[in-house]
Amino acid sequence: MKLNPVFGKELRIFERSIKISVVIFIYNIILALVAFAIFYDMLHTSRFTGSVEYKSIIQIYIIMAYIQFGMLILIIPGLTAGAISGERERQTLDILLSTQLKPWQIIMGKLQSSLLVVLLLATTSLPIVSIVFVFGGIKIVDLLILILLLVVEAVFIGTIGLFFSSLFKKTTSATVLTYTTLLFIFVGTYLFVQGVYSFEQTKNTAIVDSVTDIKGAIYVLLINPIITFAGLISKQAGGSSEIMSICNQFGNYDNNLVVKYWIGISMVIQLALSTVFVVIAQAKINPLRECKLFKKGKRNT
Amino acid sequence: MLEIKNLTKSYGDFKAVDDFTLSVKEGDIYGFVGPNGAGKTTIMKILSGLLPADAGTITIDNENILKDITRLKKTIGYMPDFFGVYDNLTVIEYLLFYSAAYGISDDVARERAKELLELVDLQEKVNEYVDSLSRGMKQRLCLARTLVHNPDILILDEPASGLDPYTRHQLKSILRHLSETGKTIIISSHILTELAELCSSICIIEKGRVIMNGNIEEIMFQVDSSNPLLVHVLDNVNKAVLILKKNKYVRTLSVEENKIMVTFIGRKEDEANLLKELIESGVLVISFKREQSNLESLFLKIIEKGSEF
Repeated sequence: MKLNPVFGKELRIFERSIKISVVIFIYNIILALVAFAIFYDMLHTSRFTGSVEYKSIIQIYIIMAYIQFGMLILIIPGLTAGAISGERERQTLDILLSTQLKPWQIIMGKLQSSLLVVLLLATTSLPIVSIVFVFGGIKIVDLLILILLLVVEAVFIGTIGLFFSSLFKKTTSATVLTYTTLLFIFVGTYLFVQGVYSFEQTKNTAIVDSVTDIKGAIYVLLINPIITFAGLISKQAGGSSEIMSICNQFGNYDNNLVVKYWIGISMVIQLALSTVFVVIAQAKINPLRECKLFKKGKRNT
Repeated sequence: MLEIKNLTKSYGDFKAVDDFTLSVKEGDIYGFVGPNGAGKTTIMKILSGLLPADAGTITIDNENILKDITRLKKTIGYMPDFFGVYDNLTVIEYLLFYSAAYGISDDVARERAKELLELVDLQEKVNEYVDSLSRGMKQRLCLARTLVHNPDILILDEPASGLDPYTRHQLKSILRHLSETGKTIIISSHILTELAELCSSICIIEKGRVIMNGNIEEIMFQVDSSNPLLVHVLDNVNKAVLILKKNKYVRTLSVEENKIMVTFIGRKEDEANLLKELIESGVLVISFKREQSNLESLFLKIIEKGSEF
């Protein structure tokens, strides 16, 4: 299989970038310190109780997984929001488009390079994460599913960044819009559902024994990566279903099929949305077939 | 043979290219001349597949390449008026990246890159980072990049802008060499004296239209024929003035010592007859010529007069 030229070029630039090495180093230092702190606490507690609390080992996994997810949320938008606008600022986009590269190849090359960062973070942290396997409780399959989810979320978040990057000439505007959109997805969707619930509840206050029903509004949360992630981690850690607890705040969803298969469905929906973002982004940078929705008059005389 | 027919492009109400028609022969170095905003870059971008045309055709060997963008991109190498380089790549990596973008295999690309770096005299900089190159070197590297896929037609937008005279001279030599190897070159520049030296033909563009185009010498002659006739006589100025006033092609004349400036609307033959008449009447003529134009003055005339040409 031929390597995407844009990905190949980004790979080479990454190799030489001290930034990525520093991020990986800091990331692993944080993970190691967290693991050490939990272990220390676990051993310290066992001196008094005389037994090792295995729940604490699972805690290491949960905390590490959340750190990985947090890093992903922080790093990926920063990388992708400047991917296309950066090419514009460097005045290299026109040259790229004058070659035989198709606009979607440019977008995919950029996406691949941001996924590479996620995979790098995930693989370099394996020695620390594998501490949990010494004590059991978490299986290799769990870890692979976690990496798969991280990749899906990286694709989703990454394509949002690419979408805005293709829309704006300036990286600063694209970055601000990307983080704002992500903030809406992470917090806004929850607040939206909360708002709908409160509204429905207010309507029902006069009716005795009424059950507040927010209907399909709950499914807005399917695009929220934090809920999907929390759901997976709670499932892997063997606790109660985080998703069910969240959804049941807004009604009774015990027998709801979507809630039951929430993780898989939300991953599919997020990938579908990612496809839409890629399609729009590639249309936006395609000089011969501009996306009419965002078409602007430009003068190049 | 590249043929552009009735090319039109508008940005809203503004017509950037207006019914533009031009034929460029194989191996020609064709210069695009025109003031800022004349539509040169828009035409070049349409030719390079970077802008859609509203109407018109661009044919190469009788095939409309606007309908076959893959062929267009294979045939044309575009060098914009900016460098567009990646500072973190070395010279060879830069060329290999663009070769890969044209789908050229690594082995072929390396061989081609070596040849191109020799052509642009950068063979010693092969492993140096692009950001360590001087402006002139970057420009030559960009030219090499334009040639990685061995295109038949080169579109160069202001390639010499900001370069020192030596680098401009180097660039001209490379372009002449490329033209000799059969490459068709379309070049826009504001350094008109250099364009005049380099190009075999020029196309003067204003408001997206062709004002004048063709062989550079023919255009110069056409322009010169509208210039005043300068008659320098040794003596008998009054006699010369009388003869000139009688001539049916003379419109106005002004005398300064023994130099007479004449607005003459006749052809070459009429000019020759007038000179014969002056000499036969005993006027000693030192010089008798049209005021010479250059591309610079032609350009200024266009800007001043608009599309009156």
